[in-house]
Amino acid sequence: MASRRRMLLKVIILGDSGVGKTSLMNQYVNKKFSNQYKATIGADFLTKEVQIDDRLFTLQIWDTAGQERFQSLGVAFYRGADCCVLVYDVNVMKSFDNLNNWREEFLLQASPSDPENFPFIVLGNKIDIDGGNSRVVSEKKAKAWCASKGNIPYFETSAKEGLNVEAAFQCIAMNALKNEPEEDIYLPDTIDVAGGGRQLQRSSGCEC
Amino acid sequence: MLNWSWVERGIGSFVMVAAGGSSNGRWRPFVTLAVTALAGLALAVALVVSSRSGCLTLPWCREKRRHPLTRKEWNNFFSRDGKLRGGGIKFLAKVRSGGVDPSVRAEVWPFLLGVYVQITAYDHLTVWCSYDMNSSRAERDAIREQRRKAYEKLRRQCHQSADGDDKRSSTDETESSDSQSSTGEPTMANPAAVDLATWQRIIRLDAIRADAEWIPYSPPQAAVREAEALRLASAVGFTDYGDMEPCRVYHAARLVAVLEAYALHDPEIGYCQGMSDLLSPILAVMEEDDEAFWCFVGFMKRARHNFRHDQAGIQRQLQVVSKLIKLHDADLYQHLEKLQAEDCAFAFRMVLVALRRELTFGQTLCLWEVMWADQAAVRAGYRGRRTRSAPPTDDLLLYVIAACVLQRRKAIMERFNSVAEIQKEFNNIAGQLDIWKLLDDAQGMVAALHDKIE
Ligand SMILES: Nc1nc2c(ncn2[C@@H]2O[C@H](COP(=O)(O)OP(=O)(O)O)[C@@H](O)[C@H]2O)c(=O)[nH]1
Ligand SMILES: [Mg+2]
Repeated sequence: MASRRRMLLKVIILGDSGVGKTSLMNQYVNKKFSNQYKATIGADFLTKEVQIDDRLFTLQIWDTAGQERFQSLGVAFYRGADCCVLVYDVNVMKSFDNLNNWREEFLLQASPSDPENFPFIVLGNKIDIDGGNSRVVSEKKAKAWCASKGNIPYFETSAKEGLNVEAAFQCIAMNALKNEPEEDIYLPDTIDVAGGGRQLQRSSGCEC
Repeated sequence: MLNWSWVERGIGSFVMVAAGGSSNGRWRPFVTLAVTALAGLALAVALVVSSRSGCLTLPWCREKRRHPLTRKEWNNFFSRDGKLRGGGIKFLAKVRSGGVDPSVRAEVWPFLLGVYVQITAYDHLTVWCSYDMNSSRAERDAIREQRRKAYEKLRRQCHQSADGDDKRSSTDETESSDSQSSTGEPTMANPAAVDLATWQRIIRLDAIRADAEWIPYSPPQAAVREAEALRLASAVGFTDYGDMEPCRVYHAARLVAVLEAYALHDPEIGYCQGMSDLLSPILAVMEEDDEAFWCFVGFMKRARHNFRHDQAGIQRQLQVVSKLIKLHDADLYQHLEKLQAEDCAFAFRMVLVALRRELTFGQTLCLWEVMWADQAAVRAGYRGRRTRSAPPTDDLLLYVIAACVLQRRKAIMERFNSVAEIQKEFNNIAGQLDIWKLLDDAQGMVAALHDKIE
């Protein structure tokens, strides 16, 4: 059992520049926030070991530059993604309006085998700013959009204060796992655990 | 040259092992005796490893590294009316081989960046230039004055736009974007519809996120008074600085001022992330905003293609890097193909911000000025005289990046089994590079391959 190869789950974070993608990833993986992260250029990733039920996975989280003109670069990075996280800033309307573009662009470029059911998660970030007084996108509006796109799970987060970040990524990991086709699960010694694990995670699910 | 750099690399790693395998490339100075077999001969080789650059000097086969252009040399390059002697050929050769001493950078960079190129006439096909390397002091003063005014006009337009008057225009006094065609993106909004307001927002976000590595390189700006910093910040409408130190507020406000002006000057590109990385070193060297702006425009003349909406520029450059690797090292290329990494997308950041994220601040200044000197030499029609030396090229950066990938050949071939691992390696390469060694390798590649690339 100890020699079992850990399964890799690939997650892509997309969203407009400055919404907090890099900060969210670092808050989740390194448990810290800094306003000194440089603007992301190209793509970078962090990995984190996660346990779902009794199995360990490696979450490979890809962070990309957020300016729309970098999107055509996507193909290389989107390849083989198991889950796509769409982030917007609750204080910037445009970043919310662009969610649709990000989603479509991802589907276009990653061309997943079953686009209808490909797992997305939406995060509304920076809810800490000004105690929520400067927000321009309401939770209701965001949830309505998520519902219209096939019930995308939705979280409101603050990368700065670490609010809801852990829960969001838990959900992300589970959805990524859901997307992994069975044959990709590489378990040399105990094939049966794979099926069991997946069933468990389906039934336990996340609140979303 | 090429061969020697390979031999050097072999010996270099041998010495590393002999020295106890210092891993981060910051070797203490030492002299060691290494024995290596070369073409069947046993050679005793004395190597001096310099600690600063970590580069090797092989005393018997290579010219000693030339020194940077000094103040005295710089002054001596000029005739009495302030013209560069000999059309600047010697000056450019000097900079190409050793960079520029910090004390003269602010005077030299405008020459390298074509600030003194005066457009005398242009139509949609041709641009007629004069001056540049042949300018007299009086002519340069006139150009500088004219450009200062043009910059101030742009700044006024920024203010007007910020006040709700969304009038945009490009300054006609200088060459504007060379192509007005925007091959649209399939799903995102039409670039033309992208607001200056959006650019202004991202510029501010990036200004806050800018690094502070410039501080030791620019003592006067590092010592700026708080009142002055805040005055400038408020003048450009930069308010989100929180508890940043005054000198960083000052630098961020200058980034905002110049980047906004650039977005108006070149609306086809506007602002794109990465541009602040390219501007920050220029601000550190050029203390006046208007001069920094025109240097930046000169830099962007080539770099702007990287930021085009259709990504054609960056794709072409990645293709060149890919081709260089293929021509130089077919085995490595094959391995990259196997990993689906032959498109060199992992080098995206290196190309986009000209190795700014991979090099230290000081190294960046050196590499860029050498690269600009190459481009200025191309502009001046200089083709290199010595038969075996590398001719100047507009694409020196791409050769340097290919050299950087080739220096990692062993790790890529033996340890990496996925694109992700390669990407990680290059994302975390900061501080491990030796620019003079890269430049040697790159120039070797230019000499060997330039006619297959251009
Ligand atoms: N107040 C607040 N600021 C944040 C939050 N997340 C990110 N930021 C700030 O927003 C800016 C952009 O963050 P970054 O993670 O680099 O955004 P990215 O471009 O999407 O990767 C930075 O200045 C961050 O410090 C958050 O949750 N709350
Ligand atoms: Mg980022």
